[in-house]
Amino acid sequence: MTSLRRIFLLVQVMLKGGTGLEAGGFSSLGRKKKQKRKLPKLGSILLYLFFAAYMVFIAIMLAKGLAPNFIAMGLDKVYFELFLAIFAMMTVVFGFFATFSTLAFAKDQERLVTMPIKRGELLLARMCMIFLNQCLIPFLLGLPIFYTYAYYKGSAWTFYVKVALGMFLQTLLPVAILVILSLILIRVTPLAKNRDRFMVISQVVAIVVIMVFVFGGQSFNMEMDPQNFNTDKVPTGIYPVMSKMVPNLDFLRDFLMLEGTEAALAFLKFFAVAVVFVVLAYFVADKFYRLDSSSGVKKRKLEDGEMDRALRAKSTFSTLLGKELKQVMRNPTIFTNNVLGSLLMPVFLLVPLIYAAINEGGNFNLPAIRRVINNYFQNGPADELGYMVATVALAIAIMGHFFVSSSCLNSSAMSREGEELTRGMVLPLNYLRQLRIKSLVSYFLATVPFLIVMLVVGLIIYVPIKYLLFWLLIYGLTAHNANQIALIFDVSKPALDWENEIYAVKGNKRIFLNLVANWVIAAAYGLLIYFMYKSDRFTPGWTIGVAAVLLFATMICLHLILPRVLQRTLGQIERYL
Amino acid sequence: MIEIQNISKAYVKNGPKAVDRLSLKLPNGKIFGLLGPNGAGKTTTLKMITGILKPDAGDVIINGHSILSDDLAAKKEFAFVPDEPNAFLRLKGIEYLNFICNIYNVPVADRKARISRLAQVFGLDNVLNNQISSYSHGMRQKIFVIGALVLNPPVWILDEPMTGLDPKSAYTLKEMMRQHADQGNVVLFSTHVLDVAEKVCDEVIIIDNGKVLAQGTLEEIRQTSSAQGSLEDIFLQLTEGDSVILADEQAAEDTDSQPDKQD
Repeated sequence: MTSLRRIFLLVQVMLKGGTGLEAGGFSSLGRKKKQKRKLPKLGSILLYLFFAAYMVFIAIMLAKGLAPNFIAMGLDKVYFELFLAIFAMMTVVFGFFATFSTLAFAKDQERLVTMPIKRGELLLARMCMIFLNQCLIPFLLGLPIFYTYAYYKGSAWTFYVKVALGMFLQTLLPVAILVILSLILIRVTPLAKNRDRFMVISQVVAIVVIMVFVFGGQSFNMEMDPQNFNTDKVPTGIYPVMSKMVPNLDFLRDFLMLEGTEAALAFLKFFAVAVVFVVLAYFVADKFYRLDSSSGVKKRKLEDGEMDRALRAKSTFSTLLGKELKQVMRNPTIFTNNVLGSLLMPVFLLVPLIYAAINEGGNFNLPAIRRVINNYFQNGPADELGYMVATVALAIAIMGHFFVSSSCLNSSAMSREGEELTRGMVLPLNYLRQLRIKSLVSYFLATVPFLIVMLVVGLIIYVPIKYLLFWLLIYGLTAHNANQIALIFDVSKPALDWENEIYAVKGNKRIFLNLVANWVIAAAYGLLIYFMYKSDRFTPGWTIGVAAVLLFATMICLHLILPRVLQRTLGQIERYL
Repeated sequence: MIEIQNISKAYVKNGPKAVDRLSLKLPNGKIFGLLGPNGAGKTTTLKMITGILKPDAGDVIINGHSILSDDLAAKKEFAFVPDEPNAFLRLKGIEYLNFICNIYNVPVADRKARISRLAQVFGLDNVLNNQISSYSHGMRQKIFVIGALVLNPPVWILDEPMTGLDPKSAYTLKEMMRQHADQGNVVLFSTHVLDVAEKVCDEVIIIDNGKVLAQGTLEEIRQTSSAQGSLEDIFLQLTEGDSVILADEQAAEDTDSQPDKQD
């Protein structure tokens, strides 16, 4: 069997089963047994198509705003360089962690190592997987961005073909470079020794980078009118940096911008440079690819004092709470998917606010704002104040349902236990009680960071404490309801048969249903705001009363529903194991 | 004592039963081995005894407490070691053991003494401060065995407990099981290793297709069934039955029909 044939077979297998990563591969990952689902693949395909369509839409809107301006000012080259640099940067930053993880932590490594496969062949197969994963987003974004440009420019049909080819292949070289870098790092650094630590670090960096992108994008303020178009804000400095890191970026740019033989030559250079690095990666793998990912267990006997501290008696409540906290915080999948966002949220919301307050000087006079707000609350018209307080309260209720439903731990409270659920069921402890204590962790993590943000903002701008506490209470109660909804959906149909816990915490029908249910309730609060301003009957007091009834009625219903749903699920738990 | 009263379980409604009207009485002072081929219903039976699965019919009484109507009291009477040791992976060994001791209210002095002794006996005393996720399969099995033994409950229920244990640990566990039963308690464990069952068990229970094929001491089983020989022979005869006899006869025929090479 030839090398190429072996590589092809490996890629086929990896495509079907994933690489063993948290989110590698295209197939459904980490299920132990196939559930009887009527249209499983169709549902997944529709979901992917939805997100793809959304991304394409965003890209088209962006390009519609930018392309005409750049064309009008003769800055076509800047347009190409800007987006090629952004895509290269995305690949390098986000691709690094995926590449390193795939090479260092793939769970199928031990099985593959025993087969008559060369390191280089295994490396190339993995590189194919990484490339297929990484090329998707630049391809999905690049096509609309450059096709929109082509539309405004009136480009020939050949340009469309060039863009498709270029966008598909643009990640080939960055991936090859990342592979070489990762191979060296795996060999010479201790990064590969602790998978959990690496996963957490990579997620934190990814979130920080995304936030930088978001804040950077917000400051990238483009006017639609070419007369007011501000080229000073175009980050032209990115391209020179990226073209050094990705040596064939210039050739890709030329391939897209030029015509005829010049374009063909540019493409050949672009592709040749990429192939050179791929071949280099093959030879580096033969020398450097460390296939043994195991690390020994540190052995140390606990001293008496340590033993005494570790074996302290605690109440059942503290015991269960402590266990849940440890499992959540120490699990990189759960931590990064459900906890990290909540912990970083106060930072991302408060830091810019404080930064703006400090640095805008005369334009943002905090004492003046405080005086205005204080005066409004003390002396403002009572009816206006009532509308404002009620509107803020309902808006906070809506936010509570949105924020909590998007990432709350309770949406996988039971699912992420997997086989461990049976251990909980044999304990001499009511499982409903175990679940309620467990859900406190979710409630705490979903509620406290936002409350801190609200409290700090409220204190900074001197909102009277009684209104602040009222709004905090609203959020606390709303967050409780949102958590309970998530819990009930998870308990009603837990996903317990996973080998990879990413399946339990991410992307499936019950999480989607949880989102929909929360949005429906949020919409109800939104309707109340609407009626409050449109109908004389809905005074602020009356509206808050209705909202309170809705809130408490929901709470009571959820508390009554949960035990029934749990009992039903536990009575037929074999369906889910 | 464990009393299993006519329990049945089908995983699919109106489908074949994994356990079919199974009744057993397991008195104190003995070690019982639950044997059967793959898919016989051993694990399903154990899961129904421990309250993980709800029987479609019947009940299980553990030291006078029904697992259905008085489950919390029943669960205080036993400790269960499942066959898969992949749970609580993010807890350190010592954290898991303390967690279990807190749930079962084991006094602090007792838990320290028992954990220290058991950890040393099973060779885990120098890894208790590591997360269970870093343990090998055998080490994980050991930590969960320790987690069961530290509670010192009257009933031990173990699902293939020897899997992954090194010879010394397996020997230690067998000795502990013997001591526990001799103290007037009951031990029920499932195993595929018939040698272990033959040496350790006071009585064996052979099940297949969810039904009890035989129960009792080896001698009792020989007397009540047509099966003879060692436990392995008895097991195969009871579970494979005609197919074993036919295979032996076929092998004998094949030997007779082969031409004499000297000719």
